[in-house]
Order: sequence, then structure tokens, then C-alpha cells
Amino acid sequence: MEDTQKEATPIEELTFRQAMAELDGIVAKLESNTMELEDSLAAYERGVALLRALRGRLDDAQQKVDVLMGELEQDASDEEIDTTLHKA
Amino acid sequence: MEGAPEEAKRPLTVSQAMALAKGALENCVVTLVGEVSEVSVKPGYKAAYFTVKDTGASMPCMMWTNRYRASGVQLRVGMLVQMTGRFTLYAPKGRMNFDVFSLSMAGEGDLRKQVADLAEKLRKQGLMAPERKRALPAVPHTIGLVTSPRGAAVHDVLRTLRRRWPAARVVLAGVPVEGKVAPGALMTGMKAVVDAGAEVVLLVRGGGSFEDLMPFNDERLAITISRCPVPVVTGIGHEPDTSIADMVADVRASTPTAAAEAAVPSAADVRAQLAAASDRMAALVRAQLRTHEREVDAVVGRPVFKDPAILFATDAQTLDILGDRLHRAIPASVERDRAVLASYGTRLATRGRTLTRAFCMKTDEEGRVLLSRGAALVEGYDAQWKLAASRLNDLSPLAVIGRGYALARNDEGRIVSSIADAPVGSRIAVRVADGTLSADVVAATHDEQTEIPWKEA
Repeated sequence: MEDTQKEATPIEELTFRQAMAELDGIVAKLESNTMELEDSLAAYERGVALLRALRGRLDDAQQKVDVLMGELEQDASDEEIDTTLHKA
Repeated sequence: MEGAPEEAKRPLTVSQAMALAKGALENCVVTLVGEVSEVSVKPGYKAAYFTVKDTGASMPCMMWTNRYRASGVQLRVGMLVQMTGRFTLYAPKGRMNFDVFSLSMAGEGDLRKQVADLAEKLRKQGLMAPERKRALPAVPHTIGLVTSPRGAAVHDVLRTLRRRWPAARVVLAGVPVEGKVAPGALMTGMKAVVDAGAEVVLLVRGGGSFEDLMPFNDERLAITISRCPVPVVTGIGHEPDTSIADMVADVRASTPTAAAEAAVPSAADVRAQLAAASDRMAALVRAQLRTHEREVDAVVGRPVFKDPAILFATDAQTLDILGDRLHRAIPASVERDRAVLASYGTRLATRGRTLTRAFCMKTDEEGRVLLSRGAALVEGYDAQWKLAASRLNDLSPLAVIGRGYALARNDEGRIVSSIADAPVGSRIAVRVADGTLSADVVAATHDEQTEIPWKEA
């Protein structure tokens, strides 16, 4: 119980990878079947919160492109790409 | 439109113009040497299509299949070939072709040789060793993309990243990927994206001829890739060309799209993974709850909670049985012991009296025998004693002396039995019957027979 509370960084502060890793850790700990019921329930609660946050991030994700060098041309549509592909 | 006189001034149709050009070109027959850079020889085609080039120009070629077969040459990219033919036009596409009549090999392409040599050198330096290859981050947050900002490749990559993993931020360095400046620009681009926090670098470019891809065979770029602090994925051109950049990269993908796919997980896969984790977690907690529930049920169901008397029922019963046995056992045994004891007493008294009587009789008898024997013994011993006493008197030297013999002792008190015991001049004491005489030895005579006195005694 102490452990979970000590580790409980607010989920917003975790990166996707960290949140995934913590979730994997929780599943592994539950699988080890060595936890007290109270700890299991606390871990489960945390796991569910992590899951919700991770899914939310996937749902909300919008590709961000930072152009550091050069000038990016507008993305051509798939049709345009097909027609401009030079054929030998 | 119907007026025939205007015909001469009317502009040509496209077909007419092409026919005119074709006529002009086809008069020009040349022999040339070039490096093969693209080849398209397919079973269904009526002709072999390929491109030859040198550092300044490239030329599309076609060779009718029967002529190509007759030449005995298997065209490969990079091959240096010598050929004779004429220029022609393919009117439907408006495309100029070199119509090859004859073809022969002119040795391996110099560029290929250079690249192969450099590849060998870098391999020897260990830049391509499998143990140098790093694993890509499973879920990269920032992806560096170094490629031309124009053309299909950059958009192929962005589209693939967006489709698979929109959560990743892309930092793009759009740089020239062809020509002399390309290697340096690619290196600058790599540094820019790494500085911007890229956890993996995608170094990509669309398809091109062998020569187009030459910047990716640059030694400095190869070394930059090998020293890059984060893993590098290449997706350069198309198979089967492998550039040196591909060889030193951590992951080599065949196309820009494939490179993007290699760099990020698929959101669908991750969602499936999350769903699996969710199910697993719920199942585990449920199982634990069920286990505890069963444990509690098992305890509640135990008889002890239903009928607490059971706790001591067995002991109480045992106690009763033991008590019962005890009550029966003690008086019975005492009675039995007492009877046995009494019988022993009686037997002992009887036997004791018998024994005493027997012993008394035996003692009386033996006493009588002893008395009679004792008297007989005394008589015998008395007679013996008297005899022994008289003999003892006879044997006593004093008795002998009484008969007139004397006993001489020298001054040492020893009996004088030889003249040697009492030398002349010594004093001797002579014991006679009624006293002792003191005498001095004045002379000694040695008898002939010294043994005699012993015989007489």
C-alpha cells in the first residue's frame, strides 16, 4: 500500500512509455499473486486510471510536425501522388 | 476548316510534330559507352528498357528483345556497357529513346567499385558489426526525419507515422538529398533532429538511380550514422540497391514507408495490448477476490462455528470413558491384591514352621556327633602330645648337656663346632648342665676326621 502511494506520480506527468511500463508492472505484480488484497485493489485502481489515460492520449493524438530545416511542401493527396509517379 | 489552301499554314498536330522529330533523330547512329543505371527486362515486354549515364547525363534506352537476347549480355545496374544504335522517339509518351542495335559489356562500373571498396573499408573498421546495431525505442515520443522536404518520401513517412502512431512528435530536417551538398546537408539534418530531442532518426529518400543514391554512399555520412547517439533507421530508394548508409544504420528498411513502420508501434496494436492488460488485470483481481471469498466461506462453514460444543466434545467423551475405567479399576485391583497377599502370608507361615523344625532336628543330630567325635579326638591327641613332649626333651640340647656334654660359644656367641670358630687366644663360653664356664683357648689340635662330631650328634 505504501509502495503504490509512494510511486503514484500524477499520471499527467508520466510519458506514454512510463505509463505503459507502470501498467505492465502492475499486471506483473498482480500475476505474482503475492499481494495483500488491499494492495491488489489499490494497484488495480491505479492500473485502470493508467489505462484510461493511455487510451485517452491515443484518441486525442494529433500528429505534430516541427520543421527544423527546409520548407515542407503541402502534402499531396494520394491521387496526386499516384498520377505524378513517373512510370518508366 | 474546309479550306484546302490554308493547310500549309496550319499548325501541325502533335503526331505530325513528333513524326517530324523522329525522322530527324533517326538519322543519327552512334556508338557510346555508359553505365547502366536502371534496367527493366520483363518476360512480357517486346523490348528491354534501361538507362545509361555518366556523371553529366543520362539516356533512356530500349533494345528489341530478339536483339537483346542475341547480344548475350545480362544487363545489371552499374554495368559499364558499349552500344551502337540510333535515337528515336516513342510518340505516344513523347519520350526519346536510344534504339540499341548492338550491346557489349565494357567492364564494371567505376562508381560501384568505389562504393564496394568503401563498404569493405568500413566493414573492416567494424561499423557494420551486428553487435553495434541498437534496438529502437518501443514507443518513441519524438521522431527525427531527415529527408528531402519535396517529393513523395517525406509524405509517405508522415502519413505512415500519422496512421500508425499519431502520438509521436516529428521533427523534420528537410535537406537536399542529391548532389555534392547532399552528404553534408544530411549530416547537418541528423544533428538538428537529435538536438531537437529525436529518440530515433529516420534517414529516407525515394527511389532513384544508383547515381542518385550516391550521397548515401558517402564515408562521412556513414561515420555520422554510426556515431549517432540515437538509433538510425534508413529507408533509401528501393530494393535491390543497398547503400552504405543502409549498411551502417541500426535498422535498414527497404522504403521510406517501411522505415516509418519500423520506427513506431501501431496504435491498433497498442490498443490491443492495453485491452489485454485491462482484461488481465481485472481477471487477476477477480480471481484474488474469489480466492479470499472461498477462504472466508470455508471458515464460516466449519462445524466449530455452527456448534461450538464440538470444540471439546471429543475430550469430554474421552474423559468420561477414562473416569469410568478408573472407578472400576481401582477397587477391583485392591481387592485382588489383598487376597493374593493374604494367601502369601499363610503359605509363608506354614512353610516357615516346617523349615524351622527341620533345621532344629538336623542341628541336634550334628551336635551329638560332634560331641562324641570331639572326645575321641582328645584322647588321641593327648597320647600324641605326651610322646612328642618326651621326644622333644630327648632332642633338647639341654637334655644332652644334662648327660655331661657341653656347649661352647665363641665371643661372638656362635656355637663352636670347629677349631676355626675359636682361634687360640680367644675366650669361649662353655655351657654345662648347671651354668656357664668362661675358658681361654690355649691350643687347638686338628683332628683327622672333622666330620665325626656331627655324626655323633
